[in-house]
Amino acid sequence: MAVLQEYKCPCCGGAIEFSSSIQKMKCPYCDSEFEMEALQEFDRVLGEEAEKSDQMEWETEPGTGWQEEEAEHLRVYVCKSCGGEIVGDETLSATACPYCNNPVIMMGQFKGDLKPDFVIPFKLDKNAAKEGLKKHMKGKILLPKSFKDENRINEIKGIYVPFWLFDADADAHIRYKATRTQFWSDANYNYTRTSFYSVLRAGTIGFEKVPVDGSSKMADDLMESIEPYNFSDAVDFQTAYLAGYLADRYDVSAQESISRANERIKKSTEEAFASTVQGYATVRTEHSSIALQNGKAKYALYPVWLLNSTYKGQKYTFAMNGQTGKFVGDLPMDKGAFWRWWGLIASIGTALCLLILFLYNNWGGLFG
Amino acid sequence: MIKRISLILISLLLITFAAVPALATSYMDGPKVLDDADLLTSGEQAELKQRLDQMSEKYECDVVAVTVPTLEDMNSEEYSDYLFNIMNYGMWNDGKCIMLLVCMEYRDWALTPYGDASKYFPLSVQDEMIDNFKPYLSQGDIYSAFCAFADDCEHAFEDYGRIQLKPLWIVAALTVGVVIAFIAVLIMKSQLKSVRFQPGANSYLRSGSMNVTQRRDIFLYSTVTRTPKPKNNSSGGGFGGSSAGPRSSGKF
Repeated sequence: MAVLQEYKCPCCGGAIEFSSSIQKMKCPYCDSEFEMEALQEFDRVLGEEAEKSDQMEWETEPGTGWQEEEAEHLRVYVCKSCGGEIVGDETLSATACPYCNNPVIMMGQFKGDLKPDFVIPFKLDKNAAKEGLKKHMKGKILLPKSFKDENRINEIKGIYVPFWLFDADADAHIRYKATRTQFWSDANYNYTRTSFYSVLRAGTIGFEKVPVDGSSKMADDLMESIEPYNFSDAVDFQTAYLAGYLADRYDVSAQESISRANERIKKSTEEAFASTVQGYATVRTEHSSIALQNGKAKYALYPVWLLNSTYKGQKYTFAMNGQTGKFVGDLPMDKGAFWRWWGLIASIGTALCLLILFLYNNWGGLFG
Repeated sequence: MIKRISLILISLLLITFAAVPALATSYMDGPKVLDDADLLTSGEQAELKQRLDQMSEKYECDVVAVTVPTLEDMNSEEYSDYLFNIMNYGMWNDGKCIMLLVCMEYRDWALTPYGDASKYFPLSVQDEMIDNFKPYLSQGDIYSAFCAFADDCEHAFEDYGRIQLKPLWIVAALTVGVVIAFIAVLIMKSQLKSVRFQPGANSYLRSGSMNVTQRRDIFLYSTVTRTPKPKNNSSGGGFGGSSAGPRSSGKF
């Protein structure tokens, strides 16, 4: 059994949670508020006590054993409040007990290399996520009315998603092919002169905290869509911030994430240096060589609200940046509305064109 | 006696009122066929004159066919305006007149609508008329050219205000409508998609960190292409005189 962490209220013993609105730990039962540092110290004392008292060994004889492969990916925890058994996968780091709903944190997921360097605490709550979805659906003409009108959200969960943050200085040598054009004419001909240039630019540019999703369970495009995060709100990691939310530890290593970070850094470096190539009609990158220096990767947990919905048998996932409120998620399309609008606009467009042609033909003299 | 004088006065008044519209509708000072270059036979002249007179009266718009031997240091459009003014054409209420002038000296022609005649003869209609009379001018068949001009004038007067849907228009309008509709609904559809990869990492550039250490712009080569200017014998769209509308002129 792995070790679970729950934060208990020093006043009433209830399970306490991190409140995004006051940025403190708060007991939902007696409304007491606690500073993070005070609670952390209190928790350390309790932890020492627990280590001394909880020397419990369990021996069980399983009835039908898990397949070795299945068992490898499963973890079983015991809730400290009610003793209920919590089964999760190997990356589950924080959740709520399915029996007593107390928030629990799997401390083993944050030991050694698995301990995040930073965490951006949630700034927005569940109601903000619901409002975000309403705003997201507003003004979408082709969204099915039934999807908009009925509350189709199956679940809303606040989750800390693991991200790798890459810092690097890019040393760039880029060659662009650029053109300039001149136009002139004489009595008989129009002339165009196109001059071709090879434009070289070299220099350095720095990037900091370029995030790459470290969880294979989260769609990478969904996680990149809710960027950017403002790193100035990040704090040193403390498990207390996770209370009341779900959390996963990374299962995509920093090494595996490097290629995506490189891709983004390369693209932005080329664009940044291209902006210094001015006075040309066209500019095209012909060759670029980018060497990264002082590359470092940090591990952080970023706040995300996930909303799941099912419509006509298909699952739709929406995500909201728990810090900035940026809301994304692909919406279903009403095919009937698509063709109705197409027909309506085509009819109006055709009628208008005919009217313009008719007016021009009959009163063209008036338009000159 | 007083009764008789009253009757005479009333009769005179009635005759005067009855005569005013008659005078107004037969206000045709200048000749509708002016063959100074002597390119038409007397029979052709008479036949053409009869037709243009009738048409002018029917549509209250002078329809004039002119041939001149020389333009006297003017261009064909200026000469048309000159004739329009000295021959008192366009004396209808709204000064309507359409004139086709032909000069054999340098083979010039000019087609000019005056006053409200521009409504009947916009450039699009003029283009069709030119297509019809110009081949005859090129062949030296001036009478046929004027007949084609008269036919087209008749059609223009008849067709004015009538909604005509040419097949080409319908196809063009339908194509434009369909394309616009597709663009519009695709824009609406794109509003439903918001999940996409970030192209770069511009949000994470360290402020002030960019340092360009090398800038070289090397000229490689250049190419020159030339395209012939479009030649156009006809010039259209200019305004001349006091009441001339958009018109066409050229050589044949």
